[in-house]
Amino acid sequence: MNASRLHLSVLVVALAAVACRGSDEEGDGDDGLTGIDTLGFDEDAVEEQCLETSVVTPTLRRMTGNEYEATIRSVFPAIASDWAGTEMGGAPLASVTQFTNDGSSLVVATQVGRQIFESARDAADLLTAPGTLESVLPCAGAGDSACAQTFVETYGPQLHRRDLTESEVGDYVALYDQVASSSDFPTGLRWMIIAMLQSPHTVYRSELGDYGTAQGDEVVLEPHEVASALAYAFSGQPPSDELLGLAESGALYEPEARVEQARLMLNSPEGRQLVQQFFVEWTGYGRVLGADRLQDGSSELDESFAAVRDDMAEETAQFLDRVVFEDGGSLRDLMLSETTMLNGALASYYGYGSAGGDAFEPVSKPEQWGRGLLAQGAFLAARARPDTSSPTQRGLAVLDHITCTPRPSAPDQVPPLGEVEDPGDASTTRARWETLHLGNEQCSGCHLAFDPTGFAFENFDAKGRYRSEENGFEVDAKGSIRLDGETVMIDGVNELSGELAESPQVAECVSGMLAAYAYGNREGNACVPAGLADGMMDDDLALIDVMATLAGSPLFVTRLRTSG
Amino acid sequence: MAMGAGLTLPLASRMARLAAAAPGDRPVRLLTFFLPHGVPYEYVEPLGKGPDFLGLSSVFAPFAAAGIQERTTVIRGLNIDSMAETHEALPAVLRGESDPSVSVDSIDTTIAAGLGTKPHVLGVVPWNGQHGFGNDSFLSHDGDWVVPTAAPTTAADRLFENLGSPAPGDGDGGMVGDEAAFRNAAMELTERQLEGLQSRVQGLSTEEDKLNKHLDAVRELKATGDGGGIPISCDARPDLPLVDATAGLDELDINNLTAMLHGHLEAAAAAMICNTAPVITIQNLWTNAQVLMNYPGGPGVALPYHDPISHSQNSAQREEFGRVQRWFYQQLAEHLIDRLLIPDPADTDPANTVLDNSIIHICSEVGDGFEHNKETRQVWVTDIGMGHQGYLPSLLIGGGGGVLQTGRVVDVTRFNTDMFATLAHVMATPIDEFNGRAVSVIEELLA
Repeated sequence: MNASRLHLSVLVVALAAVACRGSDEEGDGDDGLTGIDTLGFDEDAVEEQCLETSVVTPTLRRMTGNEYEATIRSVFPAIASDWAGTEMGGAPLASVTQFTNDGSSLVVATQVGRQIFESARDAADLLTAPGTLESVLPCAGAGDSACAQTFVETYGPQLHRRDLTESEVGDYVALYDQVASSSDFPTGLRWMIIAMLQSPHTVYRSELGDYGTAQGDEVVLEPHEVASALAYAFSGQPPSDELLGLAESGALYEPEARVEQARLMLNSPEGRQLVQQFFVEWTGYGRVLGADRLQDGSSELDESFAAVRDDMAEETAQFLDRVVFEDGGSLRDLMLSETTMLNGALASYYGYGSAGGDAFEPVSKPEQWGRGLLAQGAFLAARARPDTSSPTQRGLAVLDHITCTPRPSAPDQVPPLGEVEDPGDASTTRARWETLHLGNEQCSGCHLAFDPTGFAFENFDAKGRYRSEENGFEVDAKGSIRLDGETVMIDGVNELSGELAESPQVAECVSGMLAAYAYGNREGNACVPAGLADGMMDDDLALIDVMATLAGSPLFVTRLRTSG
Repeated sequence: MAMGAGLTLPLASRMARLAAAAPGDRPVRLLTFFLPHGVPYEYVEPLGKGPDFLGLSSVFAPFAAAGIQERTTVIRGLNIDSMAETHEALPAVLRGESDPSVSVDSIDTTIAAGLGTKPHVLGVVPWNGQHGFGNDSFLSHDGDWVVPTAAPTTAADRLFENLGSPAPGDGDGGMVGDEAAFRNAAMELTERQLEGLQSRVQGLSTEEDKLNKHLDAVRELKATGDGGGIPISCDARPDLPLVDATAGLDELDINNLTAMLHGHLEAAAAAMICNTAPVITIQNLWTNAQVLMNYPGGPGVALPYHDPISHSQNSAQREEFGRVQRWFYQQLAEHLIDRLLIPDPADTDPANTVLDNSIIHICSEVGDGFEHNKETRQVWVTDIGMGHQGYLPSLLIGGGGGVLQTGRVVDVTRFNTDMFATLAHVMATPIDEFNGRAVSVIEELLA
């Protein structure tokens, strides 16, 4: 370990001491405190897992499309509904722990540069249109350079999320002057606005701190950078004036204050939307929206599935909203909830519950229909093939996203799942998989790692519906999973979810996923505050508290001066 | 329909069209047509000799039916120099580099920059965006994924944005005089801001790379904003009924795939004729496209594209894979190539068709769909008990402005980056190095 890494380690310990004030040092949970107050950081964990990652280095973080749109709409509410937004997207997913807000993959190459320019141009057109211009810039009637400067001084700090220097104001006004001198006021303003909206100071969230200006191993983020980092991480929005004020006062350098603000933001409508996006990306349940499924034993599309797949995605979104926000549920609740949200169409499709109409309402699920997130119809249907369930896809989903078990690489020659010669030996999906994957030496080396876990879902068909039989044969949902170093036998999705809900490995995995999302870095899973996963298990921490707790990490206020 | 119009030209004119020309003599357009996951070789071959050399190929039969065999070259023996596993070769299709995060140029960007214009990527990608983008979903440009323009109406707007005078909100192309100067002034301010940030991140190599890439992008935008000096041969955007027919349709719905493909092909053909967009790529599907191939108007295969049919060792499914491939090429022939069989309005010689002055490059990221081979080697199809020489599928259609010799099969042993050099040569934007690798023109393809 080099000197600078040691230095951050010391810093982490110092900040951890702040975070631990009032906590139960013995960690036995008997001090009556809940949530983050029972947590503390462990310097060894930070040294070993986090300090080798890019999470600790100063960075310029390109906004995602959602963040950019939220920023422009927040600064200019007058055009919020008319502006088409940007085509600029998030990062493509290249690893299991990566999310679309992964700062290490978000860059401005030619395509994104053009998309930013075009969306900036569209916004500038709207802002300088007659009628709007006067409301956005009351001095527009004067049509002079001073009014252009007023625009910069009014909106520049909001777009850049910090005060502008005199030089920066001067540069924008000079651009206005240059254009307006050979055109007119709206045209000059238009190009000045375009420059402001495509400015790297708008497009990047700076987390450079005093890098380049101060000496020493640690880099301390500027107050406005801390405010931005928190605001985008926990609400997907630019920082409010109140948050910027707290940052300027120094309050946000205290972990408790950051956690408190994070909790407030997470519970806002924008924060809820951000959390929903996390679940979409983490579980992939949104794939159901683009899924086609065939009628049983036919090559014709199943229109009854197509008619409810949007409702299935909405069911899961509302299920998550209820568990995470309405009930303040924990990881255990997420895995074992006995309630889902149904409307009339879904109640009819699934064949249980008395919900009617378009509105979704809580419905207790019959036990065989499964408990928790993994028994959601959208999750199950998203992890299936058009004509059959897929123990492989479902098993891999658990390994990749719930237990964080590394999967073996797929070989080049992956044959399709063919037909079994003797249908008497392969009358169910499970039987086919056992024959073609597990009974095949070429395939079993890999598939033994996940197909047996996927078998636990076999009571659910490709369309997310319960089945006790397949092709007239009783479904066998017995399987196994490697958890915490042991092979655990399971029978059905409820037993699987029960084991997962009690597993420290799962708590560690899920907290890592949440950290990767909160830090906006695929390596963020290595930077989970020590004790957090244990708290999820031992204290049944609410998921929303787990997320808010991440704001207490020193990574929101400090970085290392490395050559990253 | 102009199908077969080339066959009616007088022999003298046809001979003139076939005469060799030098790069830059004529306006040339490049269209890359990407169809993922390789081919079933036994339905691509046998390839014969003589004027009907495609006559026995099932997959390429649409080009024979369209009467353009004399303008088609099949290239066997291209390889991707890549350590990529399975589908990760996709980013190498335009770049020769399979790691999508590595910041290297793509050939369409390079050629477009050489022409002083910008590349367009259109996409027939019924991909639901709810679960983000995968690294095996899209082609790559400069260290960044290319999200193709999926709506033909939007694609047409962009392909023709160089036409006419600009108006606020009407696009950034075609700017003249003061507008171009204004844009340059705004871009220069952005450049200065980026340069200022560069000095702040000195020593942070990742951040330096990030800003260098951004700076390059801004400079490229500044350089290509007015479309360069390319001669545009239309005063107004032509009628595009197939494009118009897609208005309001969900471009990501598999049931609309046929309409989307037809719209993109119509728009691309019109832009090639008008020469408003000399560098276009069309991405069809994506590597892991697990979408059923029995959508309305489609090839009528009730199985997902990726698995099983493109992965298959099963003879019936390989036949279906061939049928799906043939369907895509049939649409290409009927809705794009057929439209190019007219005299090129951008060429002073009326004997030269737009197809004569174009290159349509058909490619994929792997060879055999089952083997995923990125190199030329023998592949074995178990179910039918026969082996085939496997290679990356590669076709050139069009005369490349008289620079290409066409109407045959050419066997080579080269990397696909040498194909890039050949395309760049024909487009009069020659390169002898690409992303740090020495590259050279495949001379066997030239007239």
